[in-house]
Amino acid sequence: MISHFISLKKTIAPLAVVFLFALIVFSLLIPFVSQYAEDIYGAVHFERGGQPPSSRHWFGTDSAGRDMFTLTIRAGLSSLKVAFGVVFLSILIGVPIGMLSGVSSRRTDEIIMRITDAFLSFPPLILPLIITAALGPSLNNVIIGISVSWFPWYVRIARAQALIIKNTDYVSISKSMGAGRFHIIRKHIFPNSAVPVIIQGTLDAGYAILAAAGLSFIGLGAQHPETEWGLLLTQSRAQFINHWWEGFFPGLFIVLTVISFNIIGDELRSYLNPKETTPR
Amino acid sequence: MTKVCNEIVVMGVISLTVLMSISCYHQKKPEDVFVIATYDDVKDWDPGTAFSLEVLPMSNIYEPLLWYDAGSVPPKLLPALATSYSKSADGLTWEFYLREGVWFHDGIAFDSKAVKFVVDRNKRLYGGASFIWSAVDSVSTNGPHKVIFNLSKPVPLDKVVSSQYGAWIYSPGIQGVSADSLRQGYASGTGPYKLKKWSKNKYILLEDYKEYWGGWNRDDHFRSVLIKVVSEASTRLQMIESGLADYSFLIPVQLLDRLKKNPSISVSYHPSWINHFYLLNTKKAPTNNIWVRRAIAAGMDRETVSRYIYGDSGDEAKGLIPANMPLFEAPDSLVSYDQEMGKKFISRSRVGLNDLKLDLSYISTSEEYRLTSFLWMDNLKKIGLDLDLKPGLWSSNWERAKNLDTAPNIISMAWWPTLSSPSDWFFGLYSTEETPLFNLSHYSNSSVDSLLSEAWHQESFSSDSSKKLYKTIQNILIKDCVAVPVVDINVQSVYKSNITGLRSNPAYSTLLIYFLGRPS
Repeated sequence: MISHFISLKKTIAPLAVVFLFALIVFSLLIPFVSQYAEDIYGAVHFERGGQPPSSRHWFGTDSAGRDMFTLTIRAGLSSLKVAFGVVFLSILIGVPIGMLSGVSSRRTDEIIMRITDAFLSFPPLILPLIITAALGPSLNNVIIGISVSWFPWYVRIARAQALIIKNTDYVSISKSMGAGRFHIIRKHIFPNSAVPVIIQGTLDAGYAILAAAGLSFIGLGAQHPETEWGLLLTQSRAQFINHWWEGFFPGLFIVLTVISFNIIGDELRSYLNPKETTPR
Repeated sequence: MTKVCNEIVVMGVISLTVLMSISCYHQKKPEDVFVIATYDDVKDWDPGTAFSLEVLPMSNIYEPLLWYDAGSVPPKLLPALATSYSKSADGLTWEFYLREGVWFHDGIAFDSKAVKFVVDRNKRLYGGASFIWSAVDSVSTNGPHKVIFNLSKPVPLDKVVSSQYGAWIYSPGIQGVSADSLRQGYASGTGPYKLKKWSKNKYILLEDYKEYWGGWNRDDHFRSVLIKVVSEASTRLQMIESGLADYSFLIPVQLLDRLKKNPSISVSYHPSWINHFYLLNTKKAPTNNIWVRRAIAAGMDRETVSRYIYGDSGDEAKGLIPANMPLFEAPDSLVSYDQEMGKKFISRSRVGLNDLKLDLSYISTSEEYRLTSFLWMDNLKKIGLDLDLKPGLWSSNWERAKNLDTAPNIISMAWWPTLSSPSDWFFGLYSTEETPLFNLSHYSNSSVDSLLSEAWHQESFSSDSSKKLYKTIQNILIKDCVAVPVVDINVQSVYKSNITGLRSNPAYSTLLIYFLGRPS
């Protein structure tokens, strides 16, 4: 059974990559190829509202007559922006702090770790929710809110790597030859910490999309006329009993994208760190 | 593989069990319990200050001296706790003769002292709708069943005592109730139902008051009323579909077609005194420029809004107050939807393109406001105005709009009157206020203030002259472009088809359960 699962994962992984690649390409191209491109910028057409999926509107239309296919595909760009934005910001803040913590004195390390513990003590969505509510609802503020809440995980990963690497022989030799703390970080710790950070980043990308969709759903994320899957879901709320397609397709794309990121993350882990892939 | 199959079978059995338990939960409720699914809870249990959704339970617990029957043609005042009344020729003294043999739910007798107590207390509390008593100088009693109101200026007091808020007569026993008990849920009126239990943000349970003065002559009346707070519209819809509710409030218009096909559910619309409109901030840039305000008004496509967004539940507005309101006369004109005109207004405003950014806050829980705002935003973009939408809960929108520093340029509004008079809109929304309460356009015009005062006083003597004055006020407000009217609401009634006795009275945004029944 497990061997079946592993072989299935290997077949699906390229599909996940293709799906994400296609999503990026189509979400960028949709304003130029869709005949309903104006819907992306807030145009409404009530005379064609609430139509089910058809050859004209593949994913149907919402109550305001907007083409759901165009909106759902374009919303992928916002969601991917969140995914990459959150991972990039979290790494940018977390990794340098973590590496510094790992090579610093015990006292500095303790201070940094207790601060990160304070961030980690919040339940997962509470801190992004507070930050986004304080900064005002927008997609950029969602990215900031989630990143501030998630960067401590990267601090921990980078610190753990730094603690291992700083005690290796080649680092000791480098130190004995007069290398400074920042030289060791730049030349030895950073290149050797990249793998776990990249794997964590890939896995987090999917969860960032979920968190952003959650914040948009409660009105703190993207705002009309922006399109984002969580926003499309919340806009479908009052109608979903009659118009199932309004919520189904954005929901489906959230699921597919998150699964794709997770599969890619898992595959990367297997590929870059084969020793960790042991059957449980 | 066998193990996996076994697991699947076990999971299937568990899922089936769960589904069966859920379906068993849909038990039949007793026939003499009336269940209402509504969208929000009571915030204030003090009948002297309650001024919002409290009207639903309170209008079944408390009664006024008179009822205003707006459903009859022409509208008339019906006896409630007062059986008759008279006024002096100068309109300054009013005498009300009170019903005998009436008792409050707490066992205290209803008499003239109770009426005096209520009016004096409401005036002293100075909250909610206490403003309705502002013309009352003093209240005196003449025996247990006659009460005399002395006014400082003539106003139609019969309309005041039949107000939707602030006119409920409650037991003087409230004096002995602590503030904490009041917060926990307290009520003692003379109405057909009394409060049995309240679970905050969950439900209100009422039970029939056996000693009600009106009697319980029908055998199909409801012995208990359960008002359930259900914030999600789709859940309210499912409750009425499944039979868990007998009446559901505020089902989105787009979902009603589904209910109309269900023979066990009735959907009907009744004209109301509720209207939806937007207030334009007259103090904040760029809407402090009258030409920008006119351009905004020219972007409102009322026809599309009424046709596609509100459907049967809203008629295109013809003025700043609902067209079916007594003393309404259509204003000379409204700014109509015209993009070219909008562009001309913009160029006359001489406001730079970069300064033509506006924000609009609307009630996020309303599908109608959301869609109307989307349409307006699209139309204004074509005119050259950049609209930023700010959905939010009414309470937070309202708080921000009161303060000029945080106020939006445009705010969505729904209004239903306290008093059965057009003055209610104009006093509440457009009269000068030092600290804005509902004047969220921050508008001030001394001629409107004095015309309004005059029109209200005239109501007690001459309907024609007050009608003309209200029209003049509307014309001024439309010329100043303080508000953009959208639709007059037809209230929906969504209820089980076996319910009888539903009555429509635009003067009260409530449901009088005493008249309802479920014939066996």
